[in-house]
Amino acid sequence: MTEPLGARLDTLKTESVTALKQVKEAAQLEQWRITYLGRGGAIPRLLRAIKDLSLTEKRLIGRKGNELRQKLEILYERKKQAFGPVSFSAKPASFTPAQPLVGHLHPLTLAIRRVQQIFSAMGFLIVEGPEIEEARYNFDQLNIPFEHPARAETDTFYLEDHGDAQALVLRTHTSPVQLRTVLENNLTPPFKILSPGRVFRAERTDATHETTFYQFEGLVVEDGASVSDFKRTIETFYEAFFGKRVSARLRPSYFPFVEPGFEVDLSCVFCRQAGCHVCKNTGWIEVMGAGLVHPNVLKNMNIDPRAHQGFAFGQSIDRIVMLNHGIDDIRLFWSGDIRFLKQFS
Amino acid sequence: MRISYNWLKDFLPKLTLSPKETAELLTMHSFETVVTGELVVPPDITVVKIVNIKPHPNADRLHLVTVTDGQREITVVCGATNIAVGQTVPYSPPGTTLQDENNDNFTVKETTIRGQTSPGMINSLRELGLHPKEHGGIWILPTSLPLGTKLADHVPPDTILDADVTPNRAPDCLSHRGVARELAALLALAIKEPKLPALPPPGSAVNEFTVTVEDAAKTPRYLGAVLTGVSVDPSPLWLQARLLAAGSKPLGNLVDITNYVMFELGNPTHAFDMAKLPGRAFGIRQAKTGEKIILIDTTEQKLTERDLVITCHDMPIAIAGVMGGQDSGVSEKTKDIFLEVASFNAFSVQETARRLALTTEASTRFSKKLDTNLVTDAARRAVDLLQELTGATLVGILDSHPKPRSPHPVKFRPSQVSRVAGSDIFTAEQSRQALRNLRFTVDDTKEPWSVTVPTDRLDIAGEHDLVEEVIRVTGLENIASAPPPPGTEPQPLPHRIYWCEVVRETLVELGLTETLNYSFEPQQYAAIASLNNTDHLCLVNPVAPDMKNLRVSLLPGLLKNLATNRATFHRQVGRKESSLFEIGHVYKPGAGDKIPGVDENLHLAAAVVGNLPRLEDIAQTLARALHLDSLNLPNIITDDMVQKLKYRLPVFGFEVNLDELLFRIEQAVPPARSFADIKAAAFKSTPYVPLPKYPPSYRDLSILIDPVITIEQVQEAIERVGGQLVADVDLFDEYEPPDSAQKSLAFHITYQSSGGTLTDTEIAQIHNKIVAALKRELGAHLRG
Repeated sequence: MTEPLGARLDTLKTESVTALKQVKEAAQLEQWRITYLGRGGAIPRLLRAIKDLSLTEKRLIGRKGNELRQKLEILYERKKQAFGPVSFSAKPASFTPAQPLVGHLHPLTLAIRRVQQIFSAMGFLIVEGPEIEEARYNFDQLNIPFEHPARAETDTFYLEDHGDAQALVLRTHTSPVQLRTVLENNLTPPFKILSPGRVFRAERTDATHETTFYQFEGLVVEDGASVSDFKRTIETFYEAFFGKRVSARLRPSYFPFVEPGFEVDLSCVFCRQAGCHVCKNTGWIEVMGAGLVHPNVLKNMNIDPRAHQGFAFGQSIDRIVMLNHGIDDIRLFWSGDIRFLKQFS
Repeated sequence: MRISYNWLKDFLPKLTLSPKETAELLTMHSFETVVTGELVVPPDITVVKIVNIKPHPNADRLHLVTVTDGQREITVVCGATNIAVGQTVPYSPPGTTLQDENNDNFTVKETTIRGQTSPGMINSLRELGLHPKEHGGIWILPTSLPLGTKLADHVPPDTILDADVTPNRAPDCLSHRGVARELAALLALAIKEPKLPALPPPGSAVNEFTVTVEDAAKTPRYLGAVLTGVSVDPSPLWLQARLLAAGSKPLGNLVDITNYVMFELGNPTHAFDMAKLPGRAFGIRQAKTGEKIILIDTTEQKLTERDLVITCHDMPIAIAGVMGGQDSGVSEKTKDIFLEVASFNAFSVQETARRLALTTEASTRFSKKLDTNLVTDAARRAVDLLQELTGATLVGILDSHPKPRSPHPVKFRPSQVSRVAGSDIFTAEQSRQALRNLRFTVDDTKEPWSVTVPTDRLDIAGEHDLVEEVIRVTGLENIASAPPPPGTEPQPLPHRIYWCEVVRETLVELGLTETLNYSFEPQQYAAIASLNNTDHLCLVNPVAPDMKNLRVSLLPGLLKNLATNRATFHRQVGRKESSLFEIGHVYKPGAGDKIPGVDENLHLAAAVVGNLPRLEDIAQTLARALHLDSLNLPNIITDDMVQKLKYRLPVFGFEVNLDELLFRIEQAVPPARSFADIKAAAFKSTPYVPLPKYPPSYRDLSILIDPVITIEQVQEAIERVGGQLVADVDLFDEYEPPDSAQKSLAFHITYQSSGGTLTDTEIAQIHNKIVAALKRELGAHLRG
C-alpha cells in the first residue's frame, strides 16, 4: 500500500463524482454503483482497509469514509430519479426495509439479456415466437423432411390430439421464429434477426442433457452475407460477450437447413489457447452450428435464392453460461434452489 | 464409426500422414475424427497348439490343457468351454501383461489353482486387449500359423480412429473405402481399389431360388447369390485383425466375410443357411401384425405392418436391414448359403430399428439412404472372398433392381464459390481440381460447367452442394473474417422484451429472486394449487408421467420451489432472498391466435415468504416502473396451500398475464444502445460455487462497538478469522442510541464445512475465536 488512505479517500471522492456526472443512462448508472458502492466496490474496500490504521486515524478516516458513502448514495438516488421513464424504477417511498433487499436474476436471464443487448447493438432485430409450434414450421419448412431422425418421438415432444397433418410440437429450436417473422411481416432482404428462447428435446436428463434449454438463433440475409461475413459477425459477438479477443474456426458439418454447414470453434477464452480443462487442452471450444441458408429454406421464406444469400447460426445459451461460470450440472438451472440462484447478479 | 489406420493404408499406400494428422485433416475438411486407441498384441504371446485336454481333478469347471510350441509341452489350467484338441491358440507365459474383466492390466504369474500348477495361460481376445467386450472363450487362431512364433509378428500394430460421419455423407463414407476416397480427394492421392471381379449375369431362378419384391420403393434392390461348398474355419489373421480394429468379434470366415465387406465398402450383407430354409421362394414384404420372429441374438420380436421382412415360403426369416432370424442363420456346419446383398428404404429400417431398440452395424447403415449401385461392389467383393477363403462355388445370381441409378449432371458456376465464401481466394482451377479429386466428372468447356455426380454422392443435389464441396476440400479455415462494416445502426429492443427487463429489474430491487421452471406442470403441486381438474394441453411422449401436462399457470412451479427451499427459508433471519418470481409462458387449449387450438401467454408470478415486501408494495412499485396508474395484485397463495407446503412462515403470491399488462404500457420505442457502450459493460463470469453437501449451522452475534468502526470492517474480520467455515455473514440489526458512545450491531453467521457436518463444539470454538478477534482488533464487546 503506497498511497495513504486519507489521500485515496480524496481521490476517490473526486473520481466518483466526476464519473457520476458522465453517466448518461440507467445501465451505466448501475455499473457506476457497482464500481463505487457495491459490496466489492471502491468505497467498501477502503472502509475495510481502515483496520490497519491507528485508532486516531481510524476515527478520522472512518468518519470521512462513511460521510462520502452517504453522499454518494444520495447523489446516486437523485441521478436515478433523473432518468425518468427510461430508467428502471426508483425505490418506493412507502417501503423502507432494514437493509436494502436485493434479489438475483437467473443466470440464464443474465446471459440472454447480454446476448440481446449485443445483437441489437449490432443491428439485429430481436424476435420472439410461440414455444408450441406447428411441425411444418419446426421441421418441413426448414428442410427437415418427415423421415428425418430428429422428428422421432425419442427426440421431439409431440402434443396430444393432433393428426400427423397438423402435428404440434414443443419447438426443438428457435429457427421457426425466424421463418414466422419473415413470413408474417413480409420481410424482404436485407434483414438481420435474432431469436432467443426456450426450446425442448425429448431426452432423459443428466448432468449435460436437459429436456428444456435456451438458445439463440440468428439469420442474416443481405448483400455480402457470406462465410467470411458470418465469421466476422460471430467473432464480434463473442468478443463483446466474453470481453476478450477471440477468433473463430470453422469446420464442415451438416444441418439440413444450411449448405454449406459448419461447426464453429472459438479460441479458448479461459486459457488464451495455452491449454486448460475447458478446451481439453486443444485451445478451441466448440460453440455453435452455422451455415449459409439452404436455397429451399430461402424459397420457403419467399426469398429468391438466385438473387439473395444469407447465413444462419444457433447456440445453446445454457452451454455458454455453464462455461462462463464453471457450472458442472445443467439441471441446476431448473432446480429452483435459492442457494444456486443467489450466486448470480 | 471405428476406422483402422492400417486398412486406410491398404487403400492409400502413399499416405504419409500419421494417424493423428489423418484425424485432424478429416476433422477440418470432412467430419470430426479423433484417434481413440491402438490395437496391439502383447509382445510375449506365443502361437501354440492344444495337444491334450483333461478334466481338472479338483474342480468341475476347469480343465488341464496341454499345449505345444513345437519344442516343449506346457500344461495350464483353463476354464473356457470352446477349446478342442488340434486348435491353434495364443499362450501367455508368466510375466506377460494382460487385461482383466474390467479392462485393467494384470501380470500373469505361475500360480497353483486347486492343487494344479499353471505356468501361464491360454488367452481370450479380451485378455489380450483386442476386444473389450469379448468374454466368451479362448481366441481360436488359424491352424496355418507356425507354432512357437510370436503372435505379434502376424498381427501388425494398428491405430483406431473414430469418425463421426455426418448423415449427409453416410451413403459414401460409412466404410473404409469411403474414408480412404475422402482422404484421396483431400491429399490428391491415388487409391488402390480392392479386387472386384464381375459376377455372371443374373438369372430369374437359380438352383430353384426366386426373389419376389412386394414394393420396389421399400426394397429398391435385392441381390441374392447362391453359393455351395462352404467350409467354415477361423478367418485368416489379417482379416480377423481388420474386424477387431473395426470393433467386431471374429466368428469364423463365413460371418467374418459378410462383416468385412460391410466395414470395407459400406453395404451390409447377410448369409442364410440353405439347409435350414423352409423352401426356395424368397420374398420381401411388409410384416403382418402379430407375426413373430426369433432373431440371431435369440430375442423374440413381435412385428407390425410397418416392419419390412425377408420371407422364405412366406415365413419371416429376417427383419430387413436390422437382423437375421435364428432359424435360418449360419453355423460352423453350414455348407450352402444364400447370400443377401440389398438396399432397403432407409426410413422403414430406421423406424423398425428404433421401435425394437436394435441398433446394429447393419441397421445404422441402412437407416441412412444407401446407393443401390453399392450393392454390385459389395456382392462382387463378398463372392470373391467367399470363394477364396471358404472354398465356396458360386452357382448363380438373382437381382431385383428395377430402377438402376446413373450419375447425374449438375450446373456449376465457379464464380459462385467466391460469392458464397465472401472471399476471392478460390480460383476456377481449384474448383476443377477439388471436384475431380472427389470423383466428379467436370465438363468445363462452357459456363456454367456441367459436373457429373457419382451415384454414391446422394447428398449432392444442386450447385450449392458443389460449392460446399469446393470450399471444404480447399479449406474452410482459409476464409478470413470480413473487415468490419462501415457502421451499424443499433436496433432498439422490442417493446415486450424491454419492459420484461424493467419488470425483472424492479422485482430484483424489491428483493425477489428469479427462478425458472419447466413448461411441464408438476402434478403434485398442481393439485395443491387446485389446478389438476383444469383443461390442459398434454404431451404424447412425456419424459415422466407427472410431466405430461403443459402448465396453465406458473403457480405450481413456484410452490415446488417453495418446497425445495423450505429448510433454507425457515432458517434465514431477516428473510433475505426468500422471495421468488418467474416470467414464463403458460399454455391453454383455446381458439389459438397463432397456433391452432393453443393459447400461449407470457405470465409473471411471484411467491413472497415473510411479510416483506407486501404485495401492495410490489404492485405500487411495479405500477410506477411501468408508468401505469394502478396495478392490483391479489394474493393467490391460500393458507391451505401454505399449510400443505408445511410452512410456518406467512407466504403471499400473485400471478398476472404479462402480455395483457405490457399491452397497457405506452408504445414508445425503447432507446437503442450503441455497440461500444454495450461492449464496455463487462459481463461477469464469477465462478459458481458447488452447493454444499453438508448442512449449515447458524449463530447470532450482537456486539457494542465504537461508531467509527464500519460494518464492512466487522464483516471482514468475521470472514477472515472464520475462514472457510463461515459461509455467510448478514447484518440484521444496527442501532445507534443518540446519547451513547457506542453503536449496537447484530450479525447472523452461517457456519458450514465442505468436509462434514460441524459439531456444536467445533462451531463454539470458531465462534469464540471470532468474538475474541473482534474485541482485540476493533474493541467490540458482546452485548449482554
